[in-house]
Amino acid sequence: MLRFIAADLRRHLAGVLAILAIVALATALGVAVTLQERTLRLGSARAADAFDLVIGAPGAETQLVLSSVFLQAAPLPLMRGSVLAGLLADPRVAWAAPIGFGDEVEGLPIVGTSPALIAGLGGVTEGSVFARLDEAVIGAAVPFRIGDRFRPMHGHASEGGEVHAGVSCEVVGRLKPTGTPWDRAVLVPIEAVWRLHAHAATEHAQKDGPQAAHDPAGHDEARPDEVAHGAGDPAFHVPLDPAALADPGAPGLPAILVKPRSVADAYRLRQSYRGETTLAVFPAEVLTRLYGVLGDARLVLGAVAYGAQALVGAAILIAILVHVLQRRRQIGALRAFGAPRLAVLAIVWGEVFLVLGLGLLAGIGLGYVAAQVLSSHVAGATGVPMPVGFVREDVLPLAGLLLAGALIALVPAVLAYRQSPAAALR
Amino acid sequence: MPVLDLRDVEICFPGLDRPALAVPGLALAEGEHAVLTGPSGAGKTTFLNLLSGLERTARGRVAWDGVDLGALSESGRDRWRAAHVGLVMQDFHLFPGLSALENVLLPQRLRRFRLPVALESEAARLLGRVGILRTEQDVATLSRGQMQRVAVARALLARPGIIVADEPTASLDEASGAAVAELLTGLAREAGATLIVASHDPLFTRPASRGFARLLRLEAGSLAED
Ligand SMILES: Nc1ncnc2c1ncn2[C@@H]1O[C@H](COP(=O)(O)OP(=O)(O)O)[C@@H](O)[C@H]1O
Ligand SMILES: [Mg+2]
Repeated sequence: MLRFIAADLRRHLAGVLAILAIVALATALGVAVTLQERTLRLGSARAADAFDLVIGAPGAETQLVLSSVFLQAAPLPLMRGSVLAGLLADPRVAWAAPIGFGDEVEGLPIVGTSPALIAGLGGVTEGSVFARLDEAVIGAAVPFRIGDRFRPMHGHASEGGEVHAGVSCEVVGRLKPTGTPWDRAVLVPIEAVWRLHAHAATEHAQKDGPQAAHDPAGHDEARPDEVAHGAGDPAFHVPLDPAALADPGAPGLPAILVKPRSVADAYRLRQSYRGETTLAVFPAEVLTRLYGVLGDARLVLGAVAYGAQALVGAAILIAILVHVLQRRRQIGALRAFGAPRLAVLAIVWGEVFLVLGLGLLAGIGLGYVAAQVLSSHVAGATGVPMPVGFVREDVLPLAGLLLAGALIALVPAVLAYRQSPAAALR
Repeated sequence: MPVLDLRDVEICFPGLDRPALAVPGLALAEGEHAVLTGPSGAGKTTFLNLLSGLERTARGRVAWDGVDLGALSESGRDRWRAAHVGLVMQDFHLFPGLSALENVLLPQRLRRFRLPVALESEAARLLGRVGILRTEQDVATLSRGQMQRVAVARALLARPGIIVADEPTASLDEASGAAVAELLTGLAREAGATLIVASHDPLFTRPASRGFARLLRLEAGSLAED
């Protein structure tokens, strides 16, 4: 029987391959949409895990989360420096750490923060936490070594940023892998960022106006006449001053990451920091809302994919029916020469199901590969690791798909079964 | 006792104002040979289908060795035919992509889980007997005469008591046709099988080549005997 099926498939190889490819592509489309949506959801949820509560200036919640959790650069409004001081003194807060952005080095974002955040993200695996203003801790995936020195670039290189005059930082530690974009970040003391920008701002004050003096996220214009110095600035070769953070007169901050002592504290903190001057968000909550949008997109994509699959199914059924009708004589003849009716049924069913089943399996593999490729692009672009994978719940729909294939294959099989051999022989 | 007992058979097809076949009676003895002739459209194929259980009749009775085909279910008739009838058709109904040997074995292979070795050697013997020496050759590459000889070997594999051939030489050249005609009658005689051939080929109908076979003539669905 298998030889017979194989011989028949071989004779119609081109058509069989075409059907196989169509089935595989239609399946891959559905599989890829499902996997990709899950990957984005899981990947971003995992990235937000360590970020319980983020506080920023009133404005766009989503942008606050994207900037602080996913380090997507965007100019954020600033809170007064006293907010951090207040949080540090708040008994409901386990720890709070500033997040300041704006600079970068070799395309990697430089984040100004405090040792509390490094401890909160899991500490260092190598070296130590920065203890002086010209020291830095790198994310797990940053291609620097301990002991390397770099010069922060003000603004973004792609927008014509400039090297901060005279400042050179030394890498002293490497952060534990976090599975977040922070793995690609370079962490420096926030005081260093403040000082750098105060320094740069005084140089540019005439041009940029007073507002830039407090805007670490602001972008200065490139100054071709400014030349980087060879040696480090002695002003930065000083230890951290923890008191600087708790100073109510400290410079403004775009975001503060807060670890509440308890869930209840988290809700109370969010309540008290939602006001005229600050905005407190749970990143997980904002993400859930984003997934809602993502989910709607998935529904649309899913509908498109299922529509395509239904059309493909119909087209294939017709192609197979035409093929089976052409084979009526052959199949009828089999019965006339002594083959049992059930063998005829089995042959047609087996042949059709073989093609559909192989197409489905190939499509599942293809969809997986497509999701992998897409996700690695997304991961490359965002720094958020995107784990592509099947889960136990996928077994049911995939088995359902195979079952549908088996049922579809039954249609031509039953037609052949009911075919009168006498009519087939004419 | 006649091996075939056929009585009061009538087959009508929709769209035909007269019955395609109306035969009051026919008896064939065991091992008897009969040639069924008549113009195209006379009902020869319909008659053979009736005898081999491919077609059933609402009226009348077709019984072989006391087995009433009309009383069998569709699968029952399939089983009975597989055990008792060897069929040879005008266009050979071989399966391209399979070898001569595989084609001879195919219907039997589909009947059982494992093919007995004896059947395989019998198939090889029959192929040798009909002059097909390269049993592994794909049938698509055979000549038409060779194809029909493979079909004859296939019809004989299950050692059927009845051999039914519908215009077996009509699509062959004269030499191939003669070889096939000779094989059919010779093999049926060797096996002691009852042979019914529908044909208007003189190879079968001429008294000289017909031998002892009865000549049945169908004309617009009615049977007459010379
Ligand atoms: N399934 C069918 N439906 C309608 N008419 C049929 C059918 N089968 C055969 N016929 C008609 O019955 C007659 C006998 O056909 P057939 O037995 O094939 O003749 P022969 O084999 O002698 O050429 C023809 O007129 C044919 O058109
Ligand atoms: Mg005919």
